[in-house]
Amino acid sequence: MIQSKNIDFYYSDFHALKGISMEMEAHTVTAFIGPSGCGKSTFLRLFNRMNDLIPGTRLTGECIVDGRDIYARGVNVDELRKQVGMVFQKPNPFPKSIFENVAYGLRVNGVGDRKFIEQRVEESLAGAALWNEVKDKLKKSAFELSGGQQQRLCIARALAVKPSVLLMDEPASALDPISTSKIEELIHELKKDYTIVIVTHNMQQAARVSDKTGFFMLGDLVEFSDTKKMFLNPDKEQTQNYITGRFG
Amino acid sequence: MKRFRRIVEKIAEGMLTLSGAVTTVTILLIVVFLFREGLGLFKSPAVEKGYALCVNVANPVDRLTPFQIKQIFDYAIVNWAELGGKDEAIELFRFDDIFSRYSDEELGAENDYALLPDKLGEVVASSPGIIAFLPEEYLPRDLKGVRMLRSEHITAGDFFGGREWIPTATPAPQFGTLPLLLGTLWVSIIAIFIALPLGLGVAIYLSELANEQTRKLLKPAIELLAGIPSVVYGFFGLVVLVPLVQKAFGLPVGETGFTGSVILAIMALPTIITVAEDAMRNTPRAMREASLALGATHWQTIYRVIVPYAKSGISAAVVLGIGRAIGETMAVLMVTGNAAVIPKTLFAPLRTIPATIAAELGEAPAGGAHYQALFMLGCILFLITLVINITAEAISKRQHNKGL
Ligand SMILES: Nc1ncnc2c1ncn2[C@@H]1O[C@H](COP(=O)(O)OP(=O)(O)OP(=O)(O)O)[C@@H](O)[C@H]1O
Ligand SMILES: [Mg+2]
Repeated sequence: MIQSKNIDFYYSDFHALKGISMEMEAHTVTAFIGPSGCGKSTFLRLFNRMNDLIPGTRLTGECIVDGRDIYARGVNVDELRKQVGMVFQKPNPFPKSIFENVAYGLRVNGVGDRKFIEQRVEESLAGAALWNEVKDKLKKSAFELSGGQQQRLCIARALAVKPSVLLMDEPASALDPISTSKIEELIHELKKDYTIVIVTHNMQQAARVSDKTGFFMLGDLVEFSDTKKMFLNPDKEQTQNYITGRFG
Repeated sequence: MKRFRRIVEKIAEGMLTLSGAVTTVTILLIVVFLFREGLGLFKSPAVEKGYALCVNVANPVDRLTPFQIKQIFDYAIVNWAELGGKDEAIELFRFDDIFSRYSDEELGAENDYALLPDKLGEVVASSPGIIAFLPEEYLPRDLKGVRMLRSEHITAGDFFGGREWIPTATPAPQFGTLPLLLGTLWVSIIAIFIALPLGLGVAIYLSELANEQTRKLLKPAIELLAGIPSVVYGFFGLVVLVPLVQKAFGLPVGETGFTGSVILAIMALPTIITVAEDAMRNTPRAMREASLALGATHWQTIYRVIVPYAKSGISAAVVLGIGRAIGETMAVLMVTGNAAVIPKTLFAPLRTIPATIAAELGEAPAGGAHYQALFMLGCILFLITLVINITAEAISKRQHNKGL
């Protein structure tokens, strides 16, 4: 389970997130929607402490993953990131072979057992619905794959370290409709084993894949409820306007 | 109006094309000039211009390399048998020696030394072990009993394989590049061995570890160092480094190859640091984040992702560093002691190719063998740099083909 309690976040003096509190159940898919620049990515990146890389940021409030405040003193960030995987908006495979891309997370964890790595790579690629397409060219450069395949490779790469949470920041925005639907199917599958948080600009996508949806605007969490309710009968007028505006 | 603009554009285009063509042709001409002058060396006689070597007609030896000639005149070879001739002691005869054997009258002094050539001929004909070094204008007219050594040219073997560089030696100047070439390579290679780890270390520190403020301060300072004229480095080397090396290693002199390497390393560092740092900073943020998001530590990310990603930039940095090291003149000239001997240890004086050119070109008469030999050294330097650049190109191409 993931939880945020009264989160305020600043880029230097820019107040990017304002008092956000929400809970995401294990083995559910939560979608974040909202206009560009409203803070969805910022919020998502809090949960694997990716925002730590940006100098001058400041946070108050609590971020809880599996009952632990991940911003508390003494938290091992590298360990946290193994537990909370991330898939980025643009596919970003390493300039290495397909195999080495997936094996990367294991190697940096000090796993040296060839058999084990091979098995985990196959498992992960299968889990990302990519195994059949690449099993004969694992030694080839990851750059030889199509954009959609690269994104699934990045998902496989994240799965290989067996996280419990998967953060996805617009994972299908750079992809064609067929690749997109493949990724959506995949999310459905992965839900069984992972807690998934996904940012998307695509309303239908949010409606299709998620159990719960959060609507952000200008750093505020305007509304957070079951996806069905959100799209059929939202509480707030702002939500209604945004959703229908996009649908219309 | 539109027409006018098109004309202006056409003119600008023409001028750009022209300047490009002129530049290219100029550079090509320089290279051609370099090689033409340099290759002239192999048409130069091995013996000083205007002089010839004569031996007794009975002597079977008819060709000597410049090095052998030098050894004869240094008394390092004293018997013809060592040169494949008869067992006969070598008798050295220099032109001046004639005056101690004959009086001025006998040589026809009042008559412009008209009898001198004949007397020279007599001397050579009468002593079987003689080798005489004579000016061409007094060569014996009657060659009975006298044989001129065939006028050899300096060969590529003498030049590239020669172990001595003594351009002022008489009668045969020595143009062996081996000591200079080895000196250059030694100094450059050691310099790179010093500069590369340091440079990479600083580059990694600057791009990955230093905070923004330190970086902002350090980077321009380092870039500034690259612009300091090399004489200044040389001066620093002379005043600070030379005594330091002498003391630290307990050497008789501090001007050694090692001192040169250290100075070169210091000079190459700014280039290596700036180029490598730029390359590493150009690693896309997405690559870093991807690695960190998988639980890799900062260090793992640096050496597994960032350094490999920046590999072509780093090799460019190394090549630029080597390029500077190999071609560097002044600083090295000032601190290496300039002894043109084959370096057996780094802690002895040696001499590099560029330093030789700089030190000697001024006193080498244009068109002479010495002058041509210096141009030939220039050609060697040019070829070395060319090879290095081609290698660098190949490395970065291979990187690109791998999908970077
Ligand atoms: N590194 C940064 N430094 C300063 N401000 C930033 C930084 N990253 C984001 N911001 C600001 O924070 C706000 C939220 O950005 P964020 O990327 O979270 O938006 P988003 O909802 O993900 O938008 P999009 O849908 O376009 O991805 C924006 O106003 C943005 O300008
Ligand atoms: Mg975003």
